[in-house]
Amino acid sequence: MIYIILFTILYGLLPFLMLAFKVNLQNIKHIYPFVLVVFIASLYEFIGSILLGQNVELWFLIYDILVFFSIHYFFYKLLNKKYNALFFILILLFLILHCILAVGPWTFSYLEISSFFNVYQTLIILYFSVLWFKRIFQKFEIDNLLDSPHFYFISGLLIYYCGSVVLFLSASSIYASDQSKFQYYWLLNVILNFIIRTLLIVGIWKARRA
Amino acid sequence: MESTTGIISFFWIGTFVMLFLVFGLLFMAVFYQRQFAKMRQKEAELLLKTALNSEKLERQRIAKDLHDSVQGDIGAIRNYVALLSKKIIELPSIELLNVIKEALEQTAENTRLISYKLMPPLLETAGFTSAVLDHFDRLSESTGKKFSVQADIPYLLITSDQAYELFRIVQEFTQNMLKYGSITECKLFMYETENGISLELVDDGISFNFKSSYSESKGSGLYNITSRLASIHADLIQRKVLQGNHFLISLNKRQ
Repeated sequence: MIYIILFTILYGLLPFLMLAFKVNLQNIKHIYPFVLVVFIASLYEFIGSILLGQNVELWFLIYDILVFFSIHYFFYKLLNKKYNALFFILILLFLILHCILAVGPWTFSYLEISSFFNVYQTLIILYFSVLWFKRIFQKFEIDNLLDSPHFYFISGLLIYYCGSVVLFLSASSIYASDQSKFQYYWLLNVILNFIIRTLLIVGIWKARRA
Repeated sequence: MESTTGIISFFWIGTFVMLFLVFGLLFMAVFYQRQFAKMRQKEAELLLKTALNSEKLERQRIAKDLHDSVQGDIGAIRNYVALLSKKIIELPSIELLNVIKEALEQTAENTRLISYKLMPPLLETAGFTSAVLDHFDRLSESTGKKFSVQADIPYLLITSDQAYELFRIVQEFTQNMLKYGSITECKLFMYETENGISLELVDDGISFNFKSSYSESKGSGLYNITSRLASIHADLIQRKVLQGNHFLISLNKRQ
């Protein structure tokens, strides 16, 4: 189990390293911030969590915020800076959600807070992905979706967030009912992380070939 | 215990449903995008065929008009000049009439040549092989270069549209050879294959790479060749040679 986790964490370094060796990939520059966040996360999880054995709960919350903004940036640029008002409202809602969770009278666990962010992020990704597919069909910009790097990035995001949303929603309950078996359920998150990272690599590879 | 089972069921069913929906969405997107791409390609092919066919019809019309109308008019003027020359006895006027006669002869020849280039009459009446042989003979005569045809088969079994497009492709290639290639010799080989027919054009001029020249070219010559090849579903392969150029055009008759 630990080896699978270790491999997946280190696997997250690859997309950024691939970009680092070929910096002038103008057509996929919107994904750079997200790839950077994945790189930093992998590095931090490896050093902070695996090597130094630190509690990474706070980092995961920071990670959620960084991911939110990097994905927001990706879709904002990908959709040609359209839907300005919608993007603004979604950021505002995210900040309000953050403030409510931070200053409210309730005491949610890390897993519960993470599930709120995850559901919110999943809905945003689903909506913007559908908008992107709609634009592709309307404008005929791409001859073959399988050759488009953005298709792989969006597929990765959709698979990861939709696949893990139920896990995040039920994580605190599963953890409370049986702590010893929780790691086996959490394995789904590791597998989905592996898939999204693989799709990031494939997307970057496709962009390099183009 | 029951609530634990409920949570686990919720986890498995929920995850499965979500993943099923996502993969369904991605599959549908790829499938429909491919369908759209195919439709677009067919539309583009149809447009190209229509454009090339319109061009062919227009060439035929202009060639016919030049032949029937302009050349007829020149013939009539030539007769009037001949009649006039019999009535005029002053030397300067006779000399002037001779100059007019020569100019008329030249105009008639030019018109005939333009008419031929627009639509070689042999292509319609005797087929591709005869038209190409005639075209190569004319080129050899007018340029002093050696143009030759080696055909295994006397008559190619291809449609008139295919014959027309192939002729234009060969014409475009020979034009390019003379314009940029500095050739001394050009050979055209024609033979049947299992799937259809093949044409090989070999010259000894300046080598060039068709693909890179096509992407860099600002003129319409190479674009015309590519469009015409696409319209008859023919393939073009450039073979590597030490000197000159070697092109293989394959026309699959089953397509």
